[in-house]
Amino acid sequence: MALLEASGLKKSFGGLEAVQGFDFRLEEGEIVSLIGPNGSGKTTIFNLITGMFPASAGRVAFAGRDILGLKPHAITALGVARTFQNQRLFNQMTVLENVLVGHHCRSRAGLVGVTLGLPGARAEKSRVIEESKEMLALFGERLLPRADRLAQSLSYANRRRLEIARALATRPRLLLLDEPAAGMNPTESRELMADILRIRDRGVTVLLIEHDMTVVRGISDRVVALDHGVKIAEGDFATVRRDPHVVEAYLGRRAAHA
Amino acid sequence: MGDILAILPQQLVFGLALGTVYGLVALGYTMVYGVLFMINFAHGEVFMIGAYIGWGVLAVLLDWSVGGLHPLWVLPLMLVPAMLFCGGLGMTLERFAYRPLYARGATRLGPLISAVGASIFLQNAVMLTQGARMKVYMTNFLFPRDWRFDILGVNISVLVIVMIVVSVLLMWALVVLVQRTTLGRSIRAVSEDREMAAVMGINVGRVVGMTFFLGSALGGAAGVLIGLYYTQIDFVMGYSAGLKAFTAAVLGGIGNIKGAMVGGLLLGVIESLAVTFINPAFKDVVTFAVLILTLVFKPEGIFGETLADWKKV
Repeated sequence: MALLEASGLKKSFGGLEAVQGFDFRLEEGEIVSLIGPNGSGKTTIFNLITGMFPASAGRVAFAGRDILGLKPHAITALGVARTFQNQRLFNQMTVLENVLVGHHCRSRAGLVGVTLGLPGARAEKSRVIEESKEMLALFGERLLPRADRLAQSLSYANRRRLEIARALATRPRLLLLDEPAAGMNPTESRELMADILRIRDRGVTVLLIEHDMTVVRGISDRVVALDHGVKIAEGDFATVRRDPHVVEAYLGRRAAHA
Repeated sequence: MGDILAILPQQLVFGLALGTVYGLVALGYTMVYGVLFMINFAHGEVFMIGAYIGWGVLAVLLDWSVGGLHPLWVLPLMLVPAMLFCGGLGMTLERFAYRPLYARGATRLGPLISAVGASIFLQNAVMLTQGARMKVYMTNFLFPRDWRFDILGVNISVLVIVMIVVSVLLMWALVVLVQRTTLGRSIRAVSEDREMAAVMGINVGRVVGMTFFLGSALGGAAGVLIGLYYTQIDFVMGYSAGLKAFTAAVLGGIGNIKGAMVGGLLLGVIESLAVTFINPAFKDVVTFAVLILTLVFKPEGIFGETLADWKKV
C-alpha cells in the first residue's frame, strides 16, 4: 500500500484550473521532488493534501485512509506535516516553544493535570521538552544552543531549519517541504541535503517542492514534473530532466525541439 | 486645593481598585481580539450577567443564614459559579453567534454586528427574567462598613483591598496559563498565525472556544467585584462598563495581555484623578476622551501592534 495516493485530484480557482487531474503514488521511505515552473500547481497540491483548502474533485488517501475533507489539524494528527515556502514561524515564541507547539497534537496531559501539577502531567511535560530538544539536536549545533532565544532572532537559514524541526515535532510519517533550499547559499543547501537524508533515515517519507536542481538531483529517489496543473513527467532525475515536455515547460517549445 | 490634595490618595486607591477590575474585563476583549481579530461587543453583557450571578448567590446565602457570612468562603462561592457560567456563556456566544459567520468567511464586520445583536439579546433576556429594576448587593453583610483601616494616613476598606487582590491573582493565573501551559501556547500560536497553528495539529476551533471561556470567566469575576463595590446592579450596567474596559484594552494595545492590565490600571487612575480634580460628573467624559485621543494619536496603544500590522481574519 502506498503511503500517499492521489487520484484525479483537481482544484480550480474560479476559471483557473490550478491542478487538473493529478495522479500520484508515494511509497513509504521515499524522497520525491515535485518540480515545475512557477504556477504549475505544486504548492496547491500541498495545500490540498494538508486540508488547507478543499479539492474540486478527486481523492487523496494517506496510509489507506481518505483524507480529503478533513480539517488541517486532523490531517496533521494522522501523520502529515509540512513547511511553507515563506517563513511562518511563531516569531514571538522562543525556538524551543515553536517546537513544543508541534508536540501539542501528540500530548495527552489535559489542562486540569497541568494546572494542578499532577505527577503524570509533569512527567509528560519533561518528556515533551526532552523530545523537542532532540528535534533541535537533529540540526547539530545550529538550533539547540539557541533554544531559549526568540525565533525572530535566528538567522535566515536557522529559521528554515527550525521550521523543519517544528514540523517533525508533530511526529509525521510524511513530511512535505515547500522549497526548503530557497534563499540558501550552496554550503547551506548541502547541509540541508544531508539533513533531509537523515530525516528520511529516521523513517519519515519526504515529498519536497524544490527549484534548486542540485538539491533535487542530490537527494530524490524520484522526480515528478508538473506544468499548468498537469503531471508531465515522472521518474529518476536524469530521465525527467531530458524529457522533452519538461524542457519545453522550462525553456519553451523551440528549445525542446532543438 | 488643600482639601483636594487631602482626598487624592484615597481617590487613587479607589482608582487602582477600579482599574484592576477594568483590566480584568479588558482582558476578555483583548484575548478574543488576539485570536479572532474581532471586538466582542457582548462582553460587557457577560460581565453584567456575572454580577447577577454573584448577586443571586449572595441573596440565597443571606436567605439561608443571616449573619455568619465570611467573605473567605462566601466570595469564592460567588466568584466560581459566576466565572463558570460566564465562561460557558462566552463559549456559547462564539459557537452560535460568531463562528457561523467567520467560518463562512464573513468579513470582520459580520461578527461585530452579530456581537452587538448578542449584546441587545442578553440585556433583554436579563431584563425579562430578572426585571428592569436594579438589584441591591448586600455587600454590608459580607464586608461590614467598619472593616476599614489606615495605611499611611489613607483610609481603605477591606473590600477595596479584596478587589485588588482578587483581580491581581486572576491576572497572575492567566499569565501563568498563557505562558506556561500547552493551552496557553496554543492560544499564542493561533493568535500569531492561525493557519500555521492548524497545520501544527492545533484544533483552532477549540482554542478559540477556550479563549472565549477564559476571557468571559474573567469578565464574570469582574462583574461580581463591581457589584460588591457599587452595591447596585441593573441589566444595562454592562454597556458603559464594557465600553470602559474596551477603552482600557485599546489604551494598552488591543490584542496584548499586558496592555489590557496596564490600560485598565491607567484608566482607573485617570478616572480617579478626573473625579478629584475636575468633577465626578465628568468621569465618563474623561474616559472616552482617553479613547478618542488614543485612537487619534496612538491607535496601536501602549504595547500594541500598529494598525499597519493588523492581520486579516
